[in-house]
Parts: sequence; structure tokens; C-alpha cells
Amino acid sequence: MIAPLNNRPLLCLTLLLVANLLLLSFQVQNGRGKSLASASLAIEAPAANMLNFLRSNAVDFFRRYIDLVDTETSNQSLRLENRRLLLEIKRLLSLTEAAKRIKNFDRLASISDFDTTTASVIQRGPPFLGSVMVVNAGRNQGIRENSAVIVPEGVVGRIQTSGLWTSRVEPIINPQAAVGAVLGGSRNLGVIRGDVDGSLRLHYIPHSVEVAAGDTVLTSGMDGIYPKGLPIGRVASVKHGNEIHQKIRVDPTVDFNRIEETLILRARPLNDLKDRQNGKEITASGKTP
Amino acid sequence: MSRSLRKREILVLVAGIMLLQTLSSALFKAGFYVDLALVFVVYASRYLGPAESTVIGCLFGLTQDITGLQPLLGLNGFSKTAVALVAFLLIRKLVLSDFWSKSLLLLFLSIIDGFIILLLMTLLTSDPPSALANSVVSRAAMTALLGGPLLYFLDKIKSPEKDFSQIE
Repeated sequence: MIAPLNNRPLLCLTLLLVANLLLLSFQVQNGRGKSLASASLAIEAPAANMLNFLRSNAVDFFRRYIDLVDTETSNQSLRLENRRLLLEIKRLLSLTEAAKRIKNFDRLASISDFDTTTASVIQRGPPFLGSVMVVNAGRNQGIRENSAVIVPEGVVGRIQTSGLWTSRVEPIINPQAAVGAVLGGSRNLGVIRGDVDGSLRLHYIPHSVEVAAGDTVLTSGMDGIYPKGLPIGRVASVKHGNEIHQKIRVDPTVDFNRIEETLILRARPLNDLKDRQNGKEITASGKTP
Repeated sequence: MSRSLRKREILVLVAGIMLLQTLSSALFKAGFYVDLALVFVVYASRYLGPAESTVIGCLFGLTQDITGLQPLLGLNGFSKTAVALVAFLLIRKLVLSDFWSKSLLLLFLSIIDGFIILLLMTLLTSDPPSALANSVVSRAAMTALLGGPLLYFLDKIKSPEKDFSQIE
């Protein structure tokens, strides 16, 4: 079908380039193209899920293989027994860790005025594209765009695009991201933005405010996305330049390379919040008994 | 569709890009980023006509856009379309018999690809990621180092007795 066009390659090239430019323009113009992003997530989701499954199984397979090689070389029943016990300890330790993690998640869920959904990270983007992540929860689980994504250590980011089964998370270390922030000590308001080196910058803090390394930075709740009081990071360094505001570098409390599970906050219906303010008990599902 | 690259093989390459590009995200932490779509575009350009090469370039680029978590759909579609035609022309002009020469070709094409994407991001977004600009050369080097041997072996599998230098 395309072969006849081989005599006119420039025509074909021009048509394809224009088509791609139109596609790009459609997405950039007035922020449209969310449906395109959502559709591309839906296409990608099965591959990402399958690979995540394969990757976890491959790791298990190689671990077992290494264990087998160790066992063969030791060739003694006592060592075999030792090995079995060590594996058992490791399994129990990992179970304990998982239980702790779940306990932390439960604690977070209970203190929040939001319904929550736990989701695993199934894909990560490269750092030069802002370290975006894909989690295995989407519109079918009630996830909407601009929902806050957190872990027990602090804020991870927001849902940028939600597909049917997966969602794309824009982490706060992304240079395009911004979070309303407040300094833990002085309670001065500022804005946190990501930086290319994976750290954060706290903007709009005047020189008159005393800021020291180690000060905590929390969410202010002013941005309409993140609830107030969640930890963002700690001040790493402060510079007083010639500009109006201080240059403050903040180290995030979350290790973005190690995130496996996340908690996505979904705003509760208004009636539930009113009931909560009136002191009525709310069940785990968010409904009054 | 082609002289010696069947539709089935093209589908396999598309599936390969989807799977490997998604899988390679695990390596990002270690600083690896191989532009597999570019490697496959160069590979396909050898066996196809100029118009077919650009269509395949566009197809592979869009596949990469979908699976590679690109900020905008069409960035790689645009760049790979242009790069495919450049690859088609260069492959027929240069003698590329070993994987070092193929690596050099990939290095050159990857840099062109990176700059096209950077240019598009600068034109289309108000705040293009500076990390993307910093990574153009390192990505090109990684693609050349790992993609060159891959291209060499793909070529050997496809036509064991021929190489790029024997193209008419």
C-alpha cells in the first residue's frame, strides 16, 4: 500500500510530520488531549502490568536458582538446614516489614479526611522526563486527576492522568510540579518546586524569615490538591543572594527511588465530611453506621 | 509491503519496543537508557523503501511515545519519522560492515533525534525540562554503545551473509 509512495518520499515525510505536529498541537492547545493521554495509558497498561508480573517472578526465579547453586556447593545436611532456616527468617522479616508498612498506611488512612486507595508502582519514567510513575489504580478504582499521592514518609505527588486501570503520577520532584508549602517553625508560606537534580526548591520566602538547615517543610493545604500538614522535606541549604527571596534547597523526606506502594487520597463526599465534623462515627467505607 | 521485511517482522519489532521500552524503565535508576525504537528504525530502514521507512519510523516513534511515558504523544513520532529518512539515505551511502560503524551511525542519529525532541519541547511548552537537554549526549552514547551490537546481531540473523555495505 505504501510502496508506490517510495517514488515520492518527501511527500510521505511531509504528510507524516504534519500529522505528528497536529497531534502535538492538539495536546498543547488549552491543555486538551487528556483523552489522548488516557487512551495511551489504557494501551500501555496491559504491557506494564504483564512486565511487572514477569519482573517480580523473574526475581523470584533467580533467587531460587542462586539458592539452589548455594545448596549444591555446600553439600551438607546441616548447611541445608541452616539455609532453610535463614530463608524462613528472611521470609518472616519481609512479612514483618510488610505488616509494618500496612500498619503505617492504615494509620495514615484513619487520620485523613479522605477516602484512600493503595496502589503499587508498576512503571517509572527516566529522571530526565521528570521521574513520572505509573500506578495500578485508575478510574475504575475511583481515582481522578489531581488526587494527592502519599506514602507514610510524606508527599509523593499528584495524579496527572488517570486511565481505566492505571494512572500516571507526577512526583513533586518533577520540575513542572508545584506544592503549596509552609515552614514548620516560622509557619511562613511558600511554594515547593522540583529541581533537575532530584531535590526541591522552596520559593517566595523573604530574607527577613530565619530559615536553618534541618527545618521541616510541610504542605500548606493552599493548593487544593494536598491536605495540610503532610511532610514534604527538610531544609538542606539556604542562600541569601541578591534576589528578593531566599534560595532554599529542600531534601524530600520520600526516597523516590524506593517507592513500591502508595496511598492515593480521594475527596470524601460532602455529607460524609459534615457527619465527621458533627462527631458521628464513620466506618472504614466512609459511611455512617 | 517490503522487499525483505515482512509485516509479521514489523509487528514483532513493535511488540519488542513496547515490551523492552517498558522493561528498561527498571534500568533508569542505574542511568541506562537505550533508544530501542531508534535501533529498530535503523534496522527496518535497511530493508524498506524511503516512504516505507518514514511510515515505520512514525509507527515505532508513536509506540515509544505510548510506552515510554513521554510528556506529549507525537514527540518521538515526529522525530523518528525524520530520522528514518536520514537513516535510509545514510545506510545507502556509507559502508557499515562492523558494529563500531553501526554504533557511530546510531550515535549520530540519536543526537539528531534528541535535538529534534528538544526543539519541539522548547517550541511547544513554556518550560522545557532542562534535564532532557543535559541527557541528549549521554543517551546517544548509551544507545550507540548498546544499540550498535544489537543492530549488528539483528542484521546477522536477518541476512547472515550480507551486511550494510552490500546494499545496492
